[in-house]
Amino acid sequence: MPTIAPLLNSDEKQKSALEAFDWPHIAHLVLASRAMDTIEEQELVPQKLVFNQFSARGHDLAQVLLGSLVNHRHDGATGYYRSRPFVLALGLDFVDALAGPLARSGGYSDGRDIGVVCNYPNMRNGESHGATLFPMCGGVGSQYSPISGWAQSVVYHRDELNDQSYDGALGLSMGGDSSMSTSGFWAALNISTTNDLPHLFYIEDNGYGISVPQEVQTPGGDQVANLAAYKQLHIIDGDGTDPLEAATKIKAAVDYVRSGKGTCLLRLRVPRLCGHTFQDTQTYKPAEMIESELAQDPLPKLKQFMLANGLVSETHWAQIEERADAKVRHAVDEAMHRPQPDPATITRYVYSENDAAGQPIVQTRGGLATCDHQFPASDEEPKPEGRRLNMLAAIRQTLDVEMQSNPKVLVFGEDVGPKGGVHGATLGLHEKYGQQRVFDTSLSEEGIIGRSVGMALSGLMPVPEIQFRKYAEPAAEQLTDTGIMRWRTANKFAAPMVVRVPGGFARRGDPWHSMSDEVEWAHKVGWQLVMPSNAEDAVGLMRAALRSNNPTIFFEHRALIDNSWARRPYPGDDFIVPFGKAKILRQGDKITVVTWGAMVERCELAAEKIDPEGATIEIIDLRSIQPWDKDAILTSVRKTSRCLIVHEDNKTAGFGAEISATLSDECFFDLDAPIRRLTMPDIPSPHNIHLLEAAVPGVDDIAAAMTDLLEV
Amino acid sequence: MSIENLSLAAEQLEGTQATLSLWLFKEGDSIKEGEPVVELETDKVAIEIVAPCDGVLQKIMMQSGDKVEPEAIMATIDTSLAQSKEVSTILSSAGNESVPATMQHLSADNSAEASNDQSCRHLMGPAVRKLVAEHNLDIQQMQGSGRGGRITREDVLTCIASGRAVKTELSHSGSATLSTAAAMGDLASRRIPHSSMRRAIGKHMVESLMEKAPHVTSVFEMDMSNIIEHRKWHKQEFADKGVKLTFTAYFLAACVKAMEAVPDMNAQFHEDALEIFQSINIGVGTALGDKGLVVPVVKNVQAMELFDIAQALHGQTMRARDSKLTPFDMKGGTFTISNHGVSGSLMAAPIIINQPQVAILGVGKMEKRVEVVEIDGKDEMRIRPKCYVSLSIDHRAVDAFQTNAWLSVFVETIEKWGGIEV
Repeated sequence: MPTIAPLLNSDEKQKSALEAFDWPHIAHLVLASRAMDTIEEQELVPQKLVFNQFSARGHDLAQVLLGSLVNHRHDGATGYYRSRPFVLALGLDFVDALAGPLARSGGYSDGRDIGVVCNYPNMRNGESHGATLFPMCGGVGSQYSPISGWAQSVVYHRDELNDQSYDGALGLSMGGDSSMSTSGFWAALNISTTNDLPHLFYIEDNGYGISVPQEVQTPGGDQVANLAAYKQLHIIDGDGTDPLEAATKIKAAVDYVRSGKGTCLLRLRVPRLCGHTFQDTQTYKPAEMIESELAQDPLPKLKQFMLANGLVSETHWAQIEERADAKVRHAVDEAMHRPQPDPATITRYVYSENDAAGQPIVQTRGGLATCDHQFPASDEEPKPEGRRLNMLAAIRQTLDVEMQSNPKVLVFGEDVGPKGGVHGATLGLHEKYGQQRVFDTSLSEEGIIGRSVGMALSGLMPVPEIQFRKYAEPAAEQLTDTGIMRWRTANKFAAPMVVRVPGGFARRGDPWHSMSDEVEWAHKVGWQLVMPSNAEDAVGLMRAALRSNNPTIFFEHRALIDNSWARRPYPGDDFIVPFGKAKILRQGDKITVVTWGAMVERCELAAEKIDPEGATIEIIDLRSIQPWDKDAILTSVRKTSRCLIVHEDNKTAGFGAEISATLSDECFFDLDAPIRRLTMPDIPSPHNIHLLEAAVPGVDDIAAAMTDLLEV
Repeated sequence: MSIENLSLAAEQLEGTQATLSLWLFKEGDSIKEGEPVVELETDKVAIEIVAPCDGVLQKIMMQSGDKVEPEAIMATIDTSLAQSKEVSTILSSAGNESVPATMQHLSADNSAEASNDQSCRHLMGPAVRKLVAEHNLDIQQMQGSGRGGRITREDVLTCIASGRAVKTELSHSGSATLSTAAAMGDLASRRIPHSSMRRAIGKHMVESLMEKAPHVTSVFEMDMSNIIEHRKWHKQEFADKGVKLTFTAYFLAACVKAMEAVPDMNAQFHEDALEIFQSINIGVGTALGDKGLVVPVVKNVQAMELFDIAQALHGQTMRARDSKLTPFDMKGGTFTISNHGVSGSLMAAPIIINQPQVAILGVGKMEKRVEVVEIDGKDEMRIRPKCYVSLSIDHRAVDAFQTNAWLSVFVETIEKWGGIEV
């Protein structure tokens, strides 16, 4: 074992690094982390009480040092499956740390998520008590762009909202060396460096991604070396097992970012002194390598260092170790005594819930609700006034009104800023509200939604635009993780946002710009989904989305944004349409037609043709797909006994299938005809106009389908 | 004459430049204030310009494709002319406007167009079934206005509203029932709703006896001594193999012999022919106490030895008792035995309950009776265990000749069991 020489020279940097840490406390946490690793490995896993076990040996010292400096009230951090020592250093209670892997009630997720996926709200009495750890995600690479968003929101709170308490706050994203290969890492790197955001990238480099060495990930086997020429990126590189070097470099990195100079990437080399998980036997590492890794164990180095510098005595060290062991042992016992979670509650907290008195049970972190934001009064009665507006203009006006009254709304996306959006939705907003609030993003949908997560968690209301529906695909991971956030943290965290998604056919179709496929988000747990068919509903639904405590997909149909039929007079600055409420456009008693989006107009025209007196065909514009107005549809079908569903999206497993299944389940005995769906066939959107017209249900197709069901 | 201008206001322009796209009215058309008159295209979106006032579109100054500057006059409107005639508007280009010749408006009275196609009359939707059951309606009396003669929910609702098509009692019982009911009106009583088995039995009996087969019953008597003896000797042996040996097993075996002699009895009556079956599948009427009667069938008795018959019967009886009989157990019978004597009756004239069988055998109660036999020319009295057996037949299919021939063989088989003379 190498000996560490006592501090001889008076290098200022090193001295201040030495003084910045409470070394006995550091030792306590590292020893506690080791004790947790050991107990899990030797007792809990063999007893099959813990699955997916990840020890942090070798990584622990550096993480604890870093965590102890991430202590600003408005710091935000993300970790990954090997970050427990870091979270302990943020202040995580030992019992919670151990109850998580045991899947007991309480703790991170009330048994809903695996134990290494932690989160840490760090709130006390409604105020932030220190750094918050974002709910970890299982997918590697998703931890980066949310922190870009957090870092951006630090600047926003400080400079746009003039809250000086945000001065010096930072965002920290932690990942392994292999995580630098992910798209999320690169999206975040570009976003943060381009904007000089207070973002600290901490890379724990142990040379491996499970069994795959760095040589496979990047040319030369060193991702950080390849970033040497990156502009606006301050790189600090060092040995994470040497207490003094690690302490010095960590402090330098944190200070740099807190100073507001910009983005820093800190890479510390550490050994992974265990398999990837408990199951991994590391047979891919040669015996000499394992030997040399063990020799780098930071724990004995820490002890030597503290002894050498008079920071601890042998007796004191032994006491610290004993106390850590005892505390961990006691925490294990307490965690084991925590009850099993209640199966009766598994469907709770998918969405925001109200208590028995109708008051919202607000999440601990994230969204406007945590800051008790007060909205101006809203009105479900429209007050139409003036000439008709395009649906697009109505959306723009609503964004304007809400941005005016709510300084926490940010609107952004590709070309959203000065150009005003490729569809023109945000024309003039950049000019009116400025670069901080209305801005262009880089060409990365993962980045766009990822940074929205960070903004939402910091209490802002982000309104990102996905330029065309199909281009939401790279953002799928961030979208899914956002939707399930409330459920998997048992209501501790939520990230409400409004994702504006133009889609559907326009004057022509094509597979890239005209995809509909809105049903995907009806199926994604935790998302709300609306698709207005006209300017008035667009105003009301957009307002509801901007004031909602749940994340929303706002689908803007491209054929409707300036379609004549969809134009309506502006319904007023306070008009709101609650989610889950359909609109009956036409009453009739022989058939119910359920439709939404661009098909609504066509259904109305078809009904006019075959039922001009208007007593037979009932047309319902669903307009809200998740949640959907089941009661209105059931009531109508019980009256008419027949149902035709018309939607643009492909037939198989389109949302019509859900409506049909629900009807056959809940009003079977009221049906006098098969439930039919009239939709596009199962193909992508075609470009040629004749192909498009053949594919999308036309007025005559709809009229024929209505007639057929009426005559059965 | 006062003139107003139609132009694009500067603040209405969305985008940087507008082009005239489509006039929604022609020169000379009446227009109303606030109504869209012309569509413009910008580099971003389409926008509409509405009429600033009521009037007549006087002169159009710009055509489709012309660039439209803000404030430039696109047309003039004459506000002094009143408008009285209807104008037609052009529908949006989203849908196909022409009405195909084949499409009709829905006619108010569908029955006027009803065809003779009744192919879908049997298709009843859940709503129809529910209403029919709830209101006790007779579908036979309804007209179907749906496609292929299907009875729709509306058809049923119409019937309910008009009080038609309600199911009534069977007409044979008719007035007699009514007057009896009236006469009995003031007696204290209780009503026991019919079980589905009761209903089924009632239906079968009426159909068989009154609607289908003219029944005739012939009665013989049989001496049970030999089978009593045989059973005494073989009962234990069968029990050791887990099978209960009953008299019914012997009866089934004897039926086979009788069928071999008179195959006509194992048949089905058709309008033009008597269909005689090769398999002899015999159903044994089994009482389930108050709950009624079931007739599980032993199939292919002709291929069975006594043991097999006894075993099959034993199985059926156990299953019947445990209510585990399946529809398969009840199907495929060609002949039926009714052991009415088990519950005490000496003699009975059973009804063929399992149409379309042509005969049913009733077996009475076994009793020791005194009979007279001639021994060496002298009349002697003997006490013998005896049993009346009665065969009821469908006289359309067979006559007294076959009936008595059958019974003779049956009785002989029983009386001579084991080859011993009675």
